[in-house]
Amino acid sequence: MNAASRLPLVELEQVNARYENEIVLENITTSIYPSELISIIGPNGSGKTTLLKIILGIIKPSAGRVRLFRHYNGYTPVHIGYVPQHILYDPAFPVTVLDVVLLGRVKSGFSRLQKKDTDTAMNVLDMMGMKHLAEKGFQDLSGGQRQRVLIARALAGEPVLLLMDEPTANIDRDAEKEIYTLIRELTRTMTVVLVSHDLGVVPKISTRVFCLNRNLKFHETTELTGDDIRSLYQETMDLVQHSHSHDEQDLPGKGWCGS
Amino acid sequence: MVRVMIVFFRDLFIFDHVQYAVIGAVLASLSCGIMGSYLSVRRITSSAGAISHFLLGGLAAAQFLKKVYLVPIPVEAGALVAAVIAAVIIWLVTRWAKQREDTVLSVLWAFGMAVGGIFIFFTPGNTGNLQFYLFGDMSLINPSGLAAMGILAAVLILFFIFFYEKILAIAFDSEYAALRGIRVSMYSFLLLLFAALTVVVVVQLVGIVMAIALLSLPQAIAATFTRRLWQLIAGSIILSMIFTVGGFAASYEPGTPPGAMIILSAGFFYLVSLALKSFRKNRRTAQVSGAR
Repeated sequence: MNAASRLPLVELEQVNARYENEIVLENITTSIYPSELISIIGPNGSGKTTLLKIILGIIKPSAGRVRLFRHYNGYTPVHIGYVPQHILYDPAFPVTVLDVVLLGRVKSGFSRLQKKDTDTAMNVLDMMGMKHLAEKGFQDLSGGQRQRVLIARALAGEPVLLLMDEPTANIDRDAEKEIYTLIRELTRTMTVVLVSHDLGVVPKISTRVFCLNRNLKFHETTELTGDDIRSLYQETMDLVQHSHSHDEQDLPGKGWCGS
Repeated sequence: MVRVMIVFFRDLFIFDHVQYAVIGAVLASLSCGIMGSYLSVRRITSSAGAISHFLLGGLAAAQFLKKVYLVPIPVEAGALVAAVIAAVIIWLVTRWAKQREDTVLSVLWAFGMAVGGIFIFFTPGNTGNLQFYLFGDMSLINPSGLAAMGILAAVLILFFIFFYEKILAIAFDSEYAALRGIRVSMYSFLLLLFAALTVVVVVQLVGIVMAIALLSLPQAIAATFTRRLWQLIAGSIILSMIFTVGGFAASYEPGTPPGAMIILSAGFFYLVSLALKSFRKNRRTAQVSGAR
């Protein structure tokens, strides 16, 4: 299942992004290839979420350009699945688990959901061990279960590229483990980009690690072997453990990724 | 109470205006059950309050033109124009200046009232109208008004049946809906426009001041026993019908303002539903702790 084709799915060319007058991302050039599991790490406010949203087209870059699926005819932005970190939803929103998962298959224009869509949604729930929750109210679930439902929503759209923004934030250890197992499973059939704070597990399961830092520089760790990643992250983990008592904001910007 | 009901049902079969009022209540309930549910799940019910108060400007301006310049337009036309303007303004603001939405709603609210106040001052014989604008008058509903209410209800029902999934997607997570290729902005505008037109209808029933209640209380009650958007809509429609027809019937013989009766009954049942909800919750926690 390694990259049969080395043509990139996503290409970023000298992308800049800003909020108001503040530069969030600067001069980012990279590509994402099929079958990768890329993790994006970096301190708070380093532009991780912004980078995902630029790939998704939710945020327009202030400079540079983003090319999606240039070498892949027939793939459109709809083939990107997205698991947001937060959704601004009403805690009393009247919606069932199956409804939420089906929203990952909603189509534009006049086409409506068919039985086939429900079948796919149920299969995804089944795969994630949540079939029995299908008719439950979304608001009746635990935080971890909701997170899994949002992952199911992204998977229901049968994406070729899955972008996940801190999928393990705000959930307990056991649920976290399950989600990592699931992510590894998913990389067999799709490319995954994972934003994470977790410097312990995530780099170990990733094929490449992007480090985004507050200085808005982009370090791409190219051509890393497994040993390189391990040694790189051994350092990083030490760094994190070392400064464990500090607020994450206190992490030094320079050399943050052990570079 | 029995006598009140007997008089109501007797007149229901005799007088046209009683029948119109009841049919109007049923038709308006369809629209406000649907749009109130949309507004409540998108958490923008306050925009209905702003729109309804903004309508005063349109209503009073139309009345002024009619009385002073003898322009042959119904006052509802003024309300319609104001509703469309309000929807466009709110849409533009939410689209281009997201962070200041509540400010603009307050401005619309006050500005409409101010414009209304000026026009009412310059219109001769205006005091009776103010009562009508603020509290509505169901007995003034006429066949052409019913036709308009019927068309709006039919359009809304078809729109929601046909685009249900898209509306749900936008209300639940508009960012994700946009990723699925849904034209969120266009739907948001259409729905805002529909909400504004619904407010015009509701204002005829309960007036400017209480319109927001009829667009939120039935939903708040229905939310305690529904788990899906379509159930919320259906429950709200039924509750709206009960409150509007019931409120009108109860106020008919004593001659109390029907709008006020409608909102009082809705408010009362809202409190009952809250009490039931906390009762059920307490019992559930009692059972859980009993099991331990």
